[in-house]
Amino acid sequence: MIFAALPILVGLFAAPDAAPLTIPYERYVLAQNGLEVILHQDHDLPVVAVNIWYHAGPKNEAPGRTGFAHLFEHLMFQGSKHVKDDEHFKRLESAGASLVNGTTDFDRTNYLENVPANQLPLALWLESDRMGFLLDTLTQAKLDNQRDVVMNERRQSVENTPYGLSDEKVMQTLFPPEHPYFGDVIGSMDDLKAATLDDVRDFFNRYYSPANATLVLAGDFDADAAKALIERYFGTLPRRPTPTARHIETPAITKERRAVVKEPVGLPRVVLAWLSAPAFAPGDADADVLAFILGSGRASRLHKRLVYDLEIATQVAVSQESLALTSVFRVVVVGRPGVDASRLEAETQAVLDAIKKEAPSAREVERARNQLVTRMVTALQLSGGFSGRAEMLNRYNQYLGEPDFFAKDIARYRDVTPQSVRAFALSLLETDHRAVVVTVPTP
Amino acid sequence: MSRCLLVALAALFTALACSATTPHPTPLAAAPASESLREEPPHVAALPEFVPPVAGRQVLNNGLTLLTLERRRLPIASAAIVIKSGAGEDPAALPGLAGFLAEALRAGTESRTADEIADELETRGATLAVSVDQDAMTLSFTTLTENFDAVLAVVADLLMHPAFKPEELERVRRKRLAALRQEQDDPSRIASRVFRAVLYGGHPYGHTALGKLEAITKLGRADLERFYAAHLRPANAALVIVGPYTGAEAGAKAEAQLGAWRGRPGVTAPPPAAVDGTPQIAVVDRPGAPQSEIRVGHLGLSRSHPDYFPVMMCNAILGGVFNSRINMNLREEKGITYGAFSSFELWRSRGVFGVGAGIVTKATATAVAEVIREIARMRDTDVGADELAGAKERYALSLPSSFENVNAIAGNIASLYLHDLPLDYFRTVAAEIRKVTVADVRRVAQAHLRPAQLSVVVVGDATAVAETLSILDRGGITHFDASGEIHKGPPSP
Repeated sequence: MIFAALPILVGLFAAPDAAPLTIPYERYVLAQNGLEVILHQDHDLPVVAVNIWYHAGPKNEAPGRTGFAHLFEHLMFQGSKHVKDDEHFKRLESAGASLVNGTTDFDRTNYLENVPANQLPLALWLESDRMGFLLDTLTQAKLDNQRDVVMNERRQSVENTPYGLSDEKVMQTLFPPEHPYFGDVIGSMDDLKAATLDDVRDFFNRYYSPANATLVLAGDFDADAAKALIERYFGTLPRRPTPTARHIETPAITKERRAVVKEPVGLPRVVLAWLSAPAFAPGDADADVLAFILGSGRASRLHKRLVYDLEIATQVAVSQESLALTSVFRVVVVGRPGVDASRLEAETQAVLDAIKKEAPSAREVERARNQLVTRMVTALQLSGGFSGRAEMLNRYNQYLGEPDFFAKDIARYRDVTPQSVRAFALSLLETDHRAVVVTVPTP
Repeated sequence: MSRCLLVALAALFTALACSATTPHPTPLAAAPASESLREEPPHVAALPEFVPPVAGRQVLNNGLTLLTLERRRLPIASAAIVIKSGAGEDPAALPGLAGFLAEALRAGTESRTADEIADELETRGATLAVSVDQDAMTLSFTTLTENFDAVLAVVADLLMHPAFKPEELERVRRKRLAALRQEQDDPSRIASRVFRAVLYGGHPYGHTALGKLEAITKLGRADLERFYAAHLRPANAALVIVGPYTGAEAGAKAEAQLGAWRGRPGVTAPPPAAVDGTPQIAVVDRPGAPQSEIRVGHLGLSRSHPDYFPVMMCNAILGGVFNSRINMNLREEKGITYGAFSSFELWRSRGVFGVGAGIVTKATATAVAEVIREIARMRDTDVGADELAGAKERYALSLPSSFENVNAIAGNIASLYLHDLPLDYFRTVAAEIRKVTVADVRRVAQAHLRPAQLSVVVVGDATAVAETLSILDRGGITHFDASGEIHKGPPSP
């Protein structure tokens, strides 16, 4: 999402002694090429978090190219025209940077680093060079090497990790193969093998233009100096076409879909999953609260019933994975040794039925809300990383166009009531609308 | 689910929060229109020296140490109660006792049931973490300040007045037996468990906090009470509070909630230093596994060793960060792993030096051989001056970034207490790092990296790796099962 707006100043600088729950920012767009910039100053510590979101991800992969957006992300760390192949990490690490990383999620790809305040020019030099000049030094050898690395990543996190293949199966059962959320972001081995240099060039040219990215700086910098540096390093990149949004249908599930996965594990596992309200849409906050009531903490219903009272499960986890096209609401229950998967499923179902039948108590809603809000304020302390303010600004900006949505985000949870949770549970938790993935232990 | 470029690493140096630094302008240069501005990396101004703050220390009348740091950025506070006794204090016959006790603390007090504890903590938004490692048992939480006193009161209650009701202890026992079974499904956790067993044998550091099946099955309430009386004492513990409180305010909270805690004086001594055994190759068979989880290492140092800083720089160059030699070799050159890292785990008594990675099965022996070669290279040749400079600045300059959140700050202060480090420790770190020379790194590599002593653990397809591993000349392969015991039956087909 791109905002062709003039600079607007929002919020006030927080007094250090009583910081309100806001993330004051200034947002503008570079006239030269359409790059969106969001600046959030905070002089508490001499650190700047740099965080770029490219508004591209698996949702932009071509058919038969699962995993490509993530493979591409790896290539962004392999050097560009003016940055040697192994220089990105080397320069950042020896400059005192931390949390240097990139992540690919279904709706976007991000690149991040925390740098000592004086090293902001280095980070902008590195980030702008790969935004402008990645293809100049791209080689088959780089592609082959990072393909191998990603295949190892798939082995490590999907194939050789308990329930990794089952988790992938959940997304393959909820979505048809042509849907961008089908499977795991990491893709299939066959599709990874099929990726070519032309695919890399095409993806870069289509989706990695300045106008398809948002640069966030959060931390200890002078705004005028930062703007001048951004002009210098990003303002000199040429304008390239902005990709057009692709329309994607997400077919509803009308009849229960079941899958069985055999894995070399000792304990059975059952996953129940539904397509649910998209990120920040009505129902999304109810889904979070419902997830906490059902499965977060020892006081949650599934933990109390299945882990503590019946002692048939070792673990429960319930989550709303909030995404743009549709979210995924997931109930995961790992059994005790010797417990039958069908018993796990039946007892889980009984807990779900109860919350459809009668609204949760006000205390249960309060408990969920307080856990959610505490978690959010905990993240608000951080400038960078996977959950800090720079990431929040980019996330709220892409999904809502409102970078400082923090207080309103908390208000979303304050608006949830026992009745709204029950209404949401009633509308969502239909047997006909779900996918069930059962993991069967193999000896 | 999102995918990352690399797995996160724990910072080697963690630090305390600071209050305020002066904003400083970033240097400007005229922007040339051409690409020439990109030819060279930018020159940057020096960073003003960063001075971490120092926690305040008090001792309550009962002997409890209180460490506090005032932090007023947000209405949020963290507390950690760290007890200087962990799984390393388990009796030889009861590996897993400390871990069991930690779980039993949340299973009910004299006035609260397990349900009530969970409800009170979680309704106030707090997630209580109770963790046990070799050296310590730690209870920690973060809450909005409006809930801080109430949550601390519950945590103090479960620390001071555990009920150890028989039916609850049976529940804990069954849960931990199930957790033990679950651990055997995870190749990475199996590898870590077996690695520990191989290096330490019967030493108190030779088992994880989860312990062993036989001990969990047989330990009883009297064992818990004995451990509790011996170790969960105010004189053997510190309470750390980081939040918008002055030392006096935090002192009043500590006195109100934990002032009545009683126990005999004195601090638990760490276990005696472990002694090297015979190096070996240990294999846990996972037929058909696409990857081998490998561990390569030997016994190492305690946290109090005077070579601490040069050893950390040695590790940073060898395998401590992304850009280190082992990761660049195995990931970026050979493409046989997603990531390979080394670490010196430094405990109160002698810890571990080890390298860990998940390796594509067919390259398992290659990876082990390369790791051994890289370790030997650290001893045989000087590191590059630029390599060392990069490693030093990596740690010296990144200190402020780990100072942002009250939860991390509380953990860092707790580690000072655990390892008897001075409260101004973080003010000395940058200078100590910058003293390290190329010769120092060579010296500590020769003293603390011992290629002939390296043991190897592989959790993977035994048939596929057996023949190639035999080239390593470590006197044959010992087969372990997934629970960490030497495999008694015939090897898997």
